[in-house]
Amino acid sequence: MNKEQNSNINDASKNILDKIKENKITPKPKWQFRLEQVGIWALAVLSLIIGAKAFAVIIFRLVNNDWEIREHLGRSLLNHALLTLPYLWIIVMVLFILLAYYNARHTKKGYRYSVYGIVIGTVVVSLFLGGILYSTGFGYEIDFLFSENLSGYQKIMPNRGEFWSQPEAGFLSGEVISQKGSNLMLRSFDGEIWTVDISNTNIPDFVNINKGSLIRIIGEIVEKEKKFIAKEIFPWSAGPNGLFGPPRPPHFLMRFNPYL
Amino acid sequence: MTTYRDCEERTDEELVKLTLADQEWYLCLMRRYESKLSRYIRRISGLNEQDLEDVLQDIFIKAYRNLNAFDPDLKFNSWIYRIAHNEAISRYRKLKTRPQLVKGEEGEKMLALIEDKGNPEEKLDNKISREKIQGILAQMDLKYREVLTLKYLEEKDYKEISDIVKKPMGTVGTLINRAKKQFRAIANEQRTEF
Repeated sequence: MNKEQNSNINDASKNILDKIKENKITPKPKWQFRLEQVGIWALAVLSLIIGAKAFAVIIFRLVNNDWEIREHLGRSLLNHALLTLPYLWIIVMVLFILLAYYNARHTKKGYRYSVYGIVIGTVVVSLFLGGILYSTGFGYEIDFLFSENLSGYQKIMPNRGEFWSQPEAGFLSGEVISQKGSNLMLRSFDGEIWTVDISNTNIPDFVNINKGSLIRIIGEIVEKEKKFIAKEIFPWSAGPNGLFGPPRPPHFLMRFNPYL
Repeated sequence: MTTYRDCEERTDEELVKLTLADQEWYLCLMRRYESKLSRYIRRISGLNEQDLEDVLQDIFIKAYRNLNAFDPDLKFNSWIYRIAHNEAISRYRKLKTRPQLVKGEEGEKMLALIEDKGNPEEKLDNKISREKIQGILAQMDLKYREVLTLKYLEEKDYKEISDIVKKPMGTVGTLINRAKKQFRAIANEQRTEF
């Protein structure tokens, strides 16, 4: 601008421009803002995925919540549910859904959408993705991975392995080694070999007792023998199998057996 | 050399592009918004002239630094008001000054607009003085005062207010309704006192 025109301009603007020049202030490059947005979106998506994975484990845990033993233990449906709900995963899911919401809200145009819209959207996407992940076996795999590798996980989560390793109380589980007539040879998850009498057991069609199958048994122990009379047999794990084949035994129990 | 005519002929968005190529053009944008923003900051924060100048400088420098973040989907007007809004609120919170929201005939204008013509019970005494309006606005919660200022004094529409305060349009509508209610409540309360 020429001098005459400049004189009409309020000094403040001119002073600010001079300050910009003097301090060599330059606009931040575009890529920085793009990177920031990409980061926010990436965090939102990552949070959604983690929330979805948590939901997959929640479904897996709910399906494998040993509902069959509820009556044997004299628990009401509500009581059993409250005692066995996977609280850890519920907390993880809620936290990551909130994080996904927070990030979605802080995207460039996130403020334009209603709070309810974003909350409902993130919840629906998480649950939908979680359902898909569960159906592909992710729920089982994540739960197994944590059980086997994270010390303390078994203390926080309802421990099925330990529960089903109480033959004296009538609960036994393990891997079928062979079948001879009405007897099953079973290796329990803590490594003991058991003979299981199934002569008076009602075995539903969906229960596989072939070699290598993992099963849970309700019955009674025969005193002073490694023999168990089965009343009811269930598969160890219900729902979709793991990503890497059929369910595997919980190895963590074997670590505690000094004879193995 | 840029001239006044050059500035006048360009839209804000064109000036942003030109500024990114040559900082001299930034003077056009600053000149265009200087008085509007000064008035807005004064209304919302009540800063004195010296503080006002400082805030204005911060706003323009911040806007310049972040010029590449300007999204052409948004009006430049809304974008720079957003920066001004954030700076003014932050300075206001630090200093807790008394806002100077209305001047001259603005008070009556604002009162007329806030009046709910469909609800006679909530009508206000038209004789409320400018000073009282000033007092009412100063007593209002900041979140209500800012939307009321943007709507009735800065004459922004819902979409612009939404872009400035970064809240959904539905929320802006709710805030304005609540702000009007609070304004009437304080006004009626004050009337009974006098």
